[in-house]
Amino acid sequence: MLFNDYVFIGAFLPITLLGFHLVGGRGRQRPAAFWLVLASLVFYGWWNPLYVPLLLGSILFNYLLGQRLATTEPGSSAKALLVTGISANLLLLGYFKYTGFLVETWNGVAGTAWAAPKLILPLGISFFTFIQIGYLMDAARRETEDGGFLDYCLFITFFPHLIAGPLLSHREMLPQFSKSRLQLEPDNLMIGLTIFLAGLFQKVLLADSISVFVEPVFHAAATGGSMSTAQAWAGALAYTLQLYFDFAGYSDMAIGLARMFGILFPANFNSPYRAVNISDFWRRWHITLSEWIRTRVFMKMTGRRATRARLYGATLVSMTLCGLWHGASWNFIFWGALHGLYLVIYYNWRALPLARRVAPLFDGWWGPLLARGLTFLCVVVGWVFFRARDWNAALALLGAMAGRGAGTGAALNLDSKAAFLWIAALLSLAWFAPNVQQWMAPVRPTLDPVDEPARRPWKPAVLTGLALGALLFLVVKGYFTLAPTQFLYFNF
Amino acid sequence: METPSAPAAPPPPTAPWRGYARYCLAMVAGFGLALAAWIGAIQLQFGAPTAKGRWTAEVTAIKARIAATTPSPKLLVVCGSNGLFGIRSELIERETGWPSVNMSNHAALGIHYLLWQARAAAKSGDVIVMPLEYELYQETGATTEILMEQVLQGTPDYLRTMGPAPYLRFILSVKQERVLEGLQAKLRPPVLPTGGYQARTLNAHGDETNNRHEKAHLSAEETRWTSTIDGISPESISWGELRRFREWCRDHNIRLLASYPATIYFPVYEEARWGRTVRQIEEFYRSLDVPVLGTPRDFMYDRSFFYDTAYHLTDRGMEQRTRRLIELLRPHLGEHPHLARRGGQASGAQSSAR
Repeated sequence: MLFNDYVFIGAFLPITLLGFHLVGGRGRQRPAAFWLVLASLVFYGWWNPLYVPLLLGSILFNYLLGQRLATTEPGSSAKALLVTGISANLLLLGYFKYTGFLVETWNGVAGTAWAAPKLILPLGISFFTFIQIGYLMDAARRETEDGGFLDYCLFITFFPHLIAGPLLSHREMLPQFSKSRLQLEPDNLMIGLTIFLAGLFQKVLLADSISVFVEPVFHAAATGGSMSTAQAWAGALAYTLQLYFDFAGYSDMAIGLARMFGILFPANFNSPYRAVNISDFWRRWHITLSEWIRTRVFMKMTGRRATRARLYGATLVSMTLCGLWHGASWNFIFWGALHGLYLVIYYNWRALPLARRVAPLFDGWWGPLLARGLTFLCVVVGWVFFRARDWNAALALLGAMAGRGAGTGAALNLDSKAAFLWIAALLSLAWFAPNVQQWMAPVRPTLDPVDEPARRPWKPAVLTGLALGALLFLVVKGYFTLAPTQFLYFNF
Repeated sequence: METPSAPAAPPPPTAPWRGYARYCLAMVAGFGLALAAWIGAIQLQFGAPTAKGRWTAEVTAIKARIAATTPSPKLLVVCGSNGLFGIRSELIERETGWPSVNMSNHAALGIHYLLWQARAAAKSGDVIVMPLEYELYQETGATTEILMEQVLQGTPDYLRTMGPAPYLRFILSVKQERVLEGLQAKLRPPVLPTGGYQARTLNAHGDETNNRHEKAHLSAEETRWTSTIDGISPESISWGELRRFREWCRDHNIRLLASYPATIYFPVYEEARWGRTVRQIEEFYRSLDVPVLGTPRDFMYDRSFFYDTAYHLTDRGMEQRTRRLIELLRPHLGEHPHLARRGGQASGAQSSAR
């Protein structure tokens, strides 16, 4: 079941909200939490009920281990427990996500012909594994609160974030379950619905619409088909925008759904294509994953006083792991390493005296514009590796973008003019329009404070309602005229 | 090191309950207004000519006119284009004395549409011969582009036959670009391309006359056997459509005869799996008490008899197929009631009067 699925919107969500209201009304907190856990398990099991026991087993294991860690004196036994816990989580993730990749790589290196097991990747395993590893690490530092098994279960299974994030922290969630009123409130419901619809609009009308320009180009790159330079750029830019509106749309839907139940999520996107450098980009793109990697991997590797070499090494390793987290393929690993390299180059540049000397030259309006353009270009190049079928396909597409090996692309059946019109429209939105958090700033849409609230923020006015209703009509219409697609981040 | 976030709670309500209720109602109203505007835009462009649906719309209009001016009792051929290119109703009329109208149209219009068209044309006492394409037994109810064009351009009345859910599905399936094209065509009728099939090549009975043997151009891509070779899904909506049509015919004193489409012979049609498909069709019609004329093999021909698709015969194939159909029809038709009354003197008069 996907958030944009009519079964979810037409049946699951209304039933869950109604049940939440009936069970949790008049402040009955525990029954409300239990109902949400139950609904979340149904949501997860809808895809494949066989993996519900796996999810529950993982939750129980980590909860018990977290309890034990929280009461164990810091020392070698706590460390051993923590290493056991992290290893068990990584083994489970590795088994489902990386076994095939490792076998294939081994076969390639050693010339063997081992058969890779055909495993179905449990939905959301990358997300719930990382969330729980974070929980164990904090438990070992005695920074966790015990809200009981039910709250822990809700923290992990709560359906708005279960299968594609945001990556939550127990510090952000558990206090909400114990201190907030788990009760349906009209304002939360309407605010949540508004955020959800804004996300649905981004997914169905923006991401899905522009996706038609992506596949032909990447397919041609993978199969040696001819494409013009303009078509190659159209494909790469269209994917850059598709991925953003798809994932940002998903994140907004998740934030909106949680808000309907009175729960606040952290922000996951903050107009990343407006970033003026690559470090800024990673503070705006998939914020919760960046933060997890920064605090759980990067900072562990650098320690408090790192040498420059160690800092750069940690950056490269962290970003390569970030790439590997996205999927078991060399393309993802390279994409992560490439971003690591971008960051190292950026840190180096910042440290150069030359950078300080030339900085005043870029004080005008063109400075940030140039920086934004350069950062965006680097990101687009990265997405080519992220999306391409393999290394050669990525190089072929980048070559065509640079004018090398580009053909007429007559057989590609891609209207470059239409593609660039869409790209220009969506890029304008990504660059200049306020994002959903900024628009909804007065009602605190996420846990994080909103920088730069929109000049004309949201309010529950009749005119806004009318406009949203009309947008909803376009979304519903999109179900009938656009080819259905999955959320891209469900693959990770 | 990460600093713990403060326990969070949503801020207090920003508007009174009534404010949110108004907002919610406005959302519903916005949806309703957008839907109404959309339906209005579609209605405004009804009948606007566009390149895609031109031929089917013209063919439909011509055939409806022929059917309306042909006195009953008459014989109607109802099916997809295998009948248009493969049955000469002019010959049937000449040989049997039954005024005959070839109502066959594009098979992609779907079973529901073709039967709707048949209902509009048939009157008490008529005989309907229905050699449906095999794919018409295997339908999901999805709206094809051909059907959409046909409804928007040729027969918007068809929408009235739909229930609320199919109506909404149809309306919402129309693309924005198509509505814009229709509105533009309404304001300034476009110059439509003149290539492809032409409605002017139909004869006075609705038969295609341009499928000349020497002009055949069947491509390898079109040389294929039916997709129903492995059987027809019991879930297909066609079974229900045909059952309802049978009841309608019975209620309106219309005789229904089934038959098989003309198609290219392939050795695969000797296999047991194809035998099962045919039995499915036969048993279905038997359960409805509808006679079936011949067998699929009676209407299978060498590919050299086909014009441009595996269902479109050339004029030579058309002649052979029609003669075989007439042989099979005779025992069921008997003499035309008017001819019987007049002692057979009026033979051919219907045709020349038209």
